[in-house]
Amino acid sequence: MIYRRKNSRMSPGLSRLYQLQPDPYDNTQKATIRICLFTEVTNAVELREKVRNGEIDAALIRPELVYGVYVLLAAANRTVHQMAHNRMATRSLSAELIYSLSPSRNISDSLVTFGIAEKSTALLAAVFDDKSGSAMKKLCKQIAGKPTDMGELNELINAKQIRKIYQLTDAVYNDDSLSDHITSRLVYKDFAS
Amino acid sequence: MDVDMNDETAEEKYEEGFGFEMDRKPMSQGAEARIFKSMYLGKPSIIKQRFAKKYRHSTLDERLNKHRVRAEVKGIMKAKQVGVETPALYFVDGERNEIVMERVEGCSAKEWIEKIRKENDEKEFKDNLSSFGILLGTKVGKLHAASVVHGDLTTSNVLLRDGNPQQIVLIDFGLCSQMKITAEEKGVDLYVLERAIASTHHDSEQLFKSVLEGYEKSGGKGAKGALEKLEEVRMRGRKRDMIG
Ligand SMILES: Nc1ncnc2c1ncn2[C@@H]1O[C@H](COP(=O)(O)OP(=O)(O)O)[C@@H](O)[C@H]1O
Ligand SMILES: [Mg+2]
Repeated sequence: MIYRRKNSRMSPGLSRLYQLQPDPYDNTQKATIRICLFTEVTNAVELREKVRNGEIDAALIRPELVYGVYVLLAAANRTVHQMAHNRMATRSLSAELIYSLSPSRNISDSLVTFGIAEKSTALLAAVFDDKSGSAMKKLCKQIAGKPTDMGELNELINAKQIRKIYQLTDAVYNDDSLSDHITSRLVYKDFAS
Repeated sequence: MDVDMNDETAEEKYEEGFGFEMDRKPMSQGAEARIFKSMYLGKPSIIKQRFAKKYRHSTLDERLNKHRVRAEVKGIMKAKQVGVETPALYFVDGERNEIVMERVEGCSAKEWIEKIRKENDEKEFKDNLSSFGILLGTKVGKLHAASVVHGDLTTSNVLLRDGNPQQIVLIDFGLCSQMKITAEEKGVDLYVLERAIASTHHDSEQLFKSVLEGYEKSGGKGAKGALEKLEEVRMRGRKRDMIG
């Protein structure tokens, strides 16, 4: 059996589709997010520019700061909730997702911290409402890099930096409780002050 | 045979293990809130739903509910920051006054106390109450030292992860207050717990004695003042009881 790939860069099955609920447990409203991890990325400078001028409508996130898929999905669910209630702090779902990942209420700081940097060689691409995968495929063509299994995310995580950003420096946590603390911080953000 | 890996339908499946589910029947129904078991993005959770109360004026009711959700979120977070374990926050719906949080598996301190009463002999029971009380007192002391008053300390609002009395998780922060906390408020917080223990568990004086021991040990600066106020509040309580 020969597997043939139409597009050598994108092997399907590496991007993942997740279901969200803008108002949790209200099954009548649904949203989805598609996520794909890219490594060996060589055109981060160009990608940043394209995000800035609107050519790319996707969240391009630093994977080293995302402590697992659950954290990203919790931020994504906050995003679609804020969208459904006209409460977004930023101008697009993609920017709102990056902002939602941050414990800070400073929008531009959050986008700089969690969005990809010029030197980034890996990124998490996230697209809302892309059930068919066509948007991710289009995006993939613009990323000079290798679609990589989500399982690799664990290898890229920078736990030390994450602890610093979320101010979790002192205590010891196991994986689960660290991810829980991060999510708690994200939820808390809208109630701080 | 050629297999087209770009087949669109192959990508339309959702990843498993990140679903949403919610029980139809509440696991707890209180005066202010209903608790439902749920799954949030694949994690065992509960949803705490504050409902409208018909006997309260609707604008006031809505304002109170919002205030309580806010107080609860902030209290849970603040407690975490000072090393007092609380459930993880997963999602808050500020519009519907709902909080989705981590489901703590185990039992409440209330259930645990009545369980060991049955299983232990008298001395074991006292010793167990004593070491648990000291730990609980330490936690309350930490909260007070950080200027957080819980507002509704009872043995139902203390959960034990996996039923382990060493793994205390505090819940139900809707009545908590923060900042500019007086010694009087801390004293009342302790008094509420004392009364709750007395009315829930017979022959359990040892428990509150130990709570105070732990509280004093954890000794934030204000602990002494709070204990003095507790004594005052008790006196007032006794007078009230006598008058009837
Ligand atoms: N995070 C949780 N994990 C497991 N059980 C919980 C959790 N939160 C609440 N419960 C259960 O629901 C009950 C009521 O919740 P609580 O927050 O105390 O609300 P109420 O104001 O009605 O007392 C608790 O006594 C406990 O048995
Ligand atoms: Mg309660």
